[in-house]
Amino acid sequence: MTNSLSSPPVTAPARLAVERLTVEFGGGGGWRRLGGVRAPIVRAVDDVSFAIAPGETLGLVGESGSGKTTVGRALVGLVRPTGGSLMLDGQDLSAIGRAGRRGVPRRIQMMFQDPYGSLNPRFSVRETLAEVLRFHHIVPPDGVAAEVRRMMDLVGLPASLADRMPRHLSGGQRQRVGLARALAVRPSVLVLDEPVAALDVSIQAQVLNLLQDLRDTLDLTMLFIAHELGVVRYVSDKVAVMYLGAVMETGSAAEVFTRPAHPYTRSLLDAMPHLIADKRSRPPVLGGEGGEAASGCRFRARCPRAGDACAVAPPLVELSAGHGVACHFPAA
Amino acid sequence: MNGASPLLEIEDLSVVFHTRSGPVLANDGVSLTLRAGETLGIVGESGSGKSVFCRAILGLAKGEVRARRMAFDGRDIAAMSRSEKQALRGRGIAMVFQSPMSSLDPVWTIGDQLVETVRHHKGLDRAGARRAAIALLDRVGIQSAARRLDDYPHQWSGGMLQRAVIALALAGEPRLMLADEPTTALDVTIQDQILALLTELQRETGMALVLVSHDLGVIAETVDRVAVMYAGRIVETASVRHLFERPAHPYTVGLLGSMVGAAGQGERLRPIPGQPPDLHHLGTGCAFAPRCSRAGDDCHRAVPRIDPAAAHDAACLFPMEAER
Amino acid sequence: MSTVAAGEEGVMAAGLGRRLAREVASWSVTLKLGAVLLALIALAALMAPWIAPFDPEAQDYDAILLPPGGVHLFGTDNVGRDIFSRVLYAARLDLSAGFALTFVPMIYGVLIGAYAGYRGGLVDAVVGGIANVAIAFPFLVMIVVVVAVIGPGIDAIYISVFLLAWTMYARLARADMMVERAKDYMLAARVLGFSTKRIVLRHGLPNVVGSSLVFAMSDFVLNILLLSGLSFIGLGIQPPTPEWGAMIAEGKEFILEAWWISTLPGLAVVLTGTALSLIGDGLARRFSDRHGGPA
Repeated sequence: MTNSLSSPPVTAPARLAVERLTVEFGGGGGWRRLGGVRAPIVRAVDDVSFAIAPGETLGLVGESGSGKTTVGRALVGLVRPTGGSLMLDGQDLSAIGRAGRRGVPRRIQMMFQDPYGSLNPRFSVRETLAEVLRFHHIVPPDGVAAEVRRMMDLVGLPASLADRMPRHLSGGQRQRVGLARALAVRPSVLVLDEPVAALDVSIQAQVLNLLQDLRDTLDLTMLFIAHELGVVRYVSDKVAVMYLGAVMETGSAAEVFTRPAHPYTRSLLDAMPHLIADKRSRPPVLGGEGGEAASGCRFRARCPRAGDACAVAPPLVELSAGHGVACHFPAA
Repeated sequence: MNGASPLLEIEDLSVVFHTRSGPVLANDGVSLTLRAGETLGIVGESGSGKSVFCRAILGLAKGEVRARRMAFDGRDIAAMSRSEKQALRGRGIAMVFQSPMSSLDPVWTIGDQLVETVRHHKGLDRAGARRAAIALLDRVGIQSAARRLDDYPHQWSGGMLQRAVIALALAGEPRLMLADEPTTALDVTIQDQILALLTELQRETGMALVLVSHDLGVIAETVDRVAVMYAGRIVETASVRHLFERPAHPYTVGLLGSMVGAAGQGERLRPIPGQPPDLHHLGTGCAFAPRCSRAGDDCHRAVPRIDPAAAHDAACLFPMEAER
Repeated sequence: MSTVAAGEEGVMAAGLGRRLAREVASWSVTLKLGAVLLALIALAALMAPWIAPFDPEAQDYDAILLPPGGVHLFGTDNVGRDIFSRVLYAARLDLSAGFALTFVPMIYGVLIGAYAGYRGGLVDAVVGGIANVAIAFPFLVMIVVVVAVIGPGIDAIYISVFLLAWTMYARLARADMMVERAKDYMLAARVLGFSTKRIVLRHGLPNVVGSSLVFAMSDFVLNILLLSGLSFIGLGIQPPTPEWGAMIAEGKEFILEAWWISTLPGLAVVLTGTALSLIGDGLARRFSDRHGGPA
């Protein structure tokens, strides 16, 4: 592997640190301003911070509109942050950004949600993987074929599938190809955006187990984005719960899932269908729907515990070591 | 639940899609009986034929439908005239689909669509139908229904739209509601609301409910009885409790083992090995046999059948527990 | 980019052959029929010097207005030229000019559109502005201006079409690319750090060129008709060069006593148009199949 960007490690424990990340969409950028065209500004991500230690998995949970996907896309450079910083091994990503990056594989890679859209329909498995390996000179040209086989083996794809086109692969197999493609450039951080949401339950379990194995063998650092709490709980060491663009609660997975402090986290857990054969007789855990953020705490309108104090947005404060919550009335 | 004649009787239903690459048996010998007021969950993965089954009941399936008997309330559906079939849809059986956005016509207001449906079913005048429409929206939990009646679908969120779709389904006061993945497109907290609503409506109206889902958790909390489908066939039927406590078919066991909710943190999932079945190339015998750890030679020879009348039965030669 | 080992190149060539065979095997009857028909017409045009029994421009005043049959398969015109030979030679001009008039603007139109669609923003706005001007410009005005400058003939038609016709392709490719670039595989290509050139040309383009190809087939027909039409009104090909449109025009005075002069070249136009339409139809179905999800 050649990586011209390898720099002496700064004394930073975090592999990936996101500090005060803000992403806004809309508004009138550049030449549009001349025409007076101005779309309303939407703040999709608002002042989000978290850090992931090497080899650790952070689960980013939230419902639609929570901004979790936008955070992931900002990390891999698909959307430009409006504010805040993204640090990889203590190095500012925007500084690495523009200058002299041609041909340098990005060290943060991504696995996508849609098994049917994430592969080029005209490339066979072999072509998909070989292209990445060749473009970035990951291995010498005569080693590409062997490396393709090795990557396929790594993600549990039989070599017999190498010449298949995506449309002749099952959803689970496509997701494995997408994973192999991301891993081919030897990333230090893997962002997984709902990697199993579109898969059947039995296949979902196969892919989740594979991710667990790879994390152990490759010592991967992962940001796992999902709406399903069960899945996040299964794979994550730490979790951050997002609601309408902001982090509501963060902490170790064990802590957050067993002792949720934020009313929203608790509602999410309660609303999750449980595998208990018991016909429900309870009312829904939450009324209303998450629309636009109101002033003050953004969960205020739906919160069963909201009080007057909630007119002021609560900061994220630590309840105990590593367990932060943005709530005026957290559960003890 | 009484011993009177069943509300819905399906015997040996088959649906064949004739595709360019050959015939596909999307439903193969599906038999099912549903009593009035009963709640049944149909669980299965993609390609299991669960949605096709629902559509076939309503006469909406695209393929060639054959059945030894398909009866609603004792009347043979196949023998019904066109207008009788139309009356059956909506007034006898109503359906709620997965995507609320595409279930409603974007160029008409929610009110237009509801009022039209109510008038069609009840023959009310415009003002009366409008009042009934407001009452229906109110019933499914839409706040200030009278004011929001004239909104267009794009003005509503997914959760509200699914409520509107349920209101549309309720308009004909159906005796059976088919809900095909009604919460799959929704957020968890909204799913929770919709399931609570469906449960409440079912209890209140006494209608029968068939809930189709890929999510065993959704099924567990909402219905009494479950049918598990795999590759177009019902492979196990049981009460929800029995299914979770004593799953008999290896596929059901595999499905339960694959659920992240079932495994604790750090514990490994026990996924079903292999790939989902290719309906184009189903061999003879049990469709699950190629992925099954218990399969013997006999499993590849003939399709094990299920006893639709049994309280708990699995279409398997080697079920997990011989407890039946 | 990397060098490919010689052995691998052979494998790739074999793979290409196999892929081509698989591709043809998957064609619909319509597509095959159209392709065969067009191939036959093209072959006839190519072989014109060997097939044609007469010099297409040779006049024979002993054989004026002869009906089809005998030595003159398609009959002769008012100056005794062999219609069959002229139709054959005209096919060379019509097909090659039609081809160039269609595919040259298509190539840069698709490239421009795909790039604009991929980049969006300012690039897209500028390209869109230019395209709108070109679309709003009446073609006949353009050709009259060009003819006024360089005189009538095929070159005037080339210049006018090349200036204006790319816009349609640019629009099609742009619209498709805007859909395509939001798809996960395009995002993946960006995340993998591929160059914009590679993303647009290797990943985007093959997936957006479909609708342009389909459109090109009807454009091809229209371009042949345009050529014929312009020749008909005297702005295009000048006599005595054989050209289908010009031949139809020449025969119009004799339509009652010698129908074959106009009709048989007309039939050639219809036949070529049919072949192209069949191909366009088949391609359209082929592309919609490919994007039709899992198979």
